[in-house]
Amino acid sequence: MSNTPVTLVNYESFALDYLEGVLSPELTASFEAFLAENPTIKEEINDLLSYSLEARPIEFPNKATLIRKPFFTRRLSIIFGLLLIFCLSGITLYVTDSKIESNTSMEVQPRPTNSTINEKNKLEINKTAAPNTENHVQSSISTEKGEVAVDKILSSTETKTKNNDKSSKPTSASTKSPEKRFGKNQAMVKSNLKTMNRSERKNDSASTKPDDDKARNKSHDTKHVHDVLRMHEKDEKKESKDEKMKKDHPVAQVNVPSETDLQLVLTDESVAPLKAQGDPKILTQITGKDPLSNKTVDIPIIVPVENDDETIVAAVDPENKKKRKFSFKNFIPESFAGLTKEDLKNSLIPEALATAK
Amino acid sequence: MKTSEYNQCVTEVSDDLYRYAYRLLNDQFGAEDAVQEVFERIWKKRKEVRFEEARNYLFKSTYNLCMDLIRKQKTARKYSETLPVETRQPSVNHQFELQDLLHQALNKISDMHRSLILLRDYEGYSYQEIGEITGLSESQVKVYIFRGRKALKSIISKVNQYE
Repeated sequence: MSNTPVTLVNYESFALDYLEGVLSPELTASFEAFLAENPTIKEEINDLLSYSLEARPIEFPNKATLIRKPFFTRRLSIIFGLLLIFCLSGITLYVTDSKIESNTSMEVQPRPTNSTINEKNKLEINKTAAPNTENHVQSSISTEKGEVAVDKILSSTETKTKNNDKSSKPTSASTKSPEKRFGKNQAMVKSNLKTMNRSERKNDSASTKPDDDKARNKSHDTKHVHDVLRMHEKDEKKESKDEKMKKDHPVAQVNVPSETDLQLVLTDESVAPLKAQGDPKILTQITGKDPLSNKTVDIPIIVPVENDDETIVAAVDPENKKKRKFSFKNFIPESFAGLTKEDLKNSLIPEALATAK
Repeated sequence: MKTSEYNQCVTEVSDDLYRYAYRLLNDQFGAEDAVQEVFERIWKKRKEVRFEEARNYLFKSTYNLCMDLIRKQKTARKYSETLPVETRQPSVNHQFELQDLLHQALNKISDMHRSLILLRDYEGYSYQEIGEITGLSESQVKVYIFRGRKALKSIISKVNQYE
């Protein structure tokens, strides 16, 4: 370009550099010579010497909208939003589930194979159980049929006659708890006692013991019957106050033979006698190892009326004859059948142990 | 280009881009849309565009976009009898000062001349950079700018003669 001569065709490309003073000395001389030959163009160039266009500052009004937040900030806001949604949905689900839990009654699922196992276990327990009055009543409750209860009473009576009144004296502590549970139906107790008397008469006829022993046993049994009847009357008075608050709870049975072999049995048949007695307090019954006494016993679980909506249930400890609380948190009746052994170990038993301690 | 660099571009270049687009289009809202469109483009291509090239990229995009818009406006104006020949004037006062006259005269020269003069005189680009932005050779840029300035002077001289 430096060697190109300035002509009418190309002078425009040199003009700006000439005006700005960036042309090389050779081209400047060449360009000035060209301007001298063309005065019109020289005049144009001179006019442009005073040219200056100043930029006026203008501010872009939407600058803030163009600014982008950093990646982390944008993602963080999204994550927080999602977390909030998850929390809200979780709370909603939790509330809904708790409502369902409180409103749903326990469904009894028949499992014939397990129920037979349960019966066997109960029979074993009945053999090993102490032959006092409380155990009689508990056994009658834990059994599935009323006839079995009568048999139990009969067998205990036999044991009593053999032991000569050593363990047959009913104490107030021993009779209080079971009667609270089962003392409502006095007629049923009376019928049981009649049956017992009939069986005793049979036993008397078949017995080889002397007559004075028989009379002593009979008088003692009569005293025991009167005591029981008095306690039933007292219980009836107490229960009449609570009748308004009672609800009809389905009954389930949890069979826990041992820690290593946990089984779960929920049958209608097994709890039918309890229903027949009409005691809505009894929720379920655990046959297994008592965490306190470390013995295999039947523990009828009672749901207190005042704590009906809660999952904390109370049970009568057959050994201590005192009401104990067994906190079964997240006690969902429907999920009983679905609970695994591990679930029971992890949730049910530790909770009971912890509460007992 | 990182997000922070993009934001830096917005802070530093958006005003110049807006002014350039505003002078080219003579339309405030059109210029705003053009600038937003251009920044949207560079945001999408931020991984491909380096920070050092961002300014040129933005002006090149704005130039192309505005020239497309001007072409479309001209086509629409050509087939429309209702539209006035002159579009809305920029919001400059009507004082007869040289700078005002020059800015008014800018709207009357050709789009190509105007765009190159704005790049050179407003934004301070070199002829080579203007050539890269507009896709012209350096000599062509110089010729167009010279002609544009001559046109501006002639307009101003005509106004002075009329007064």
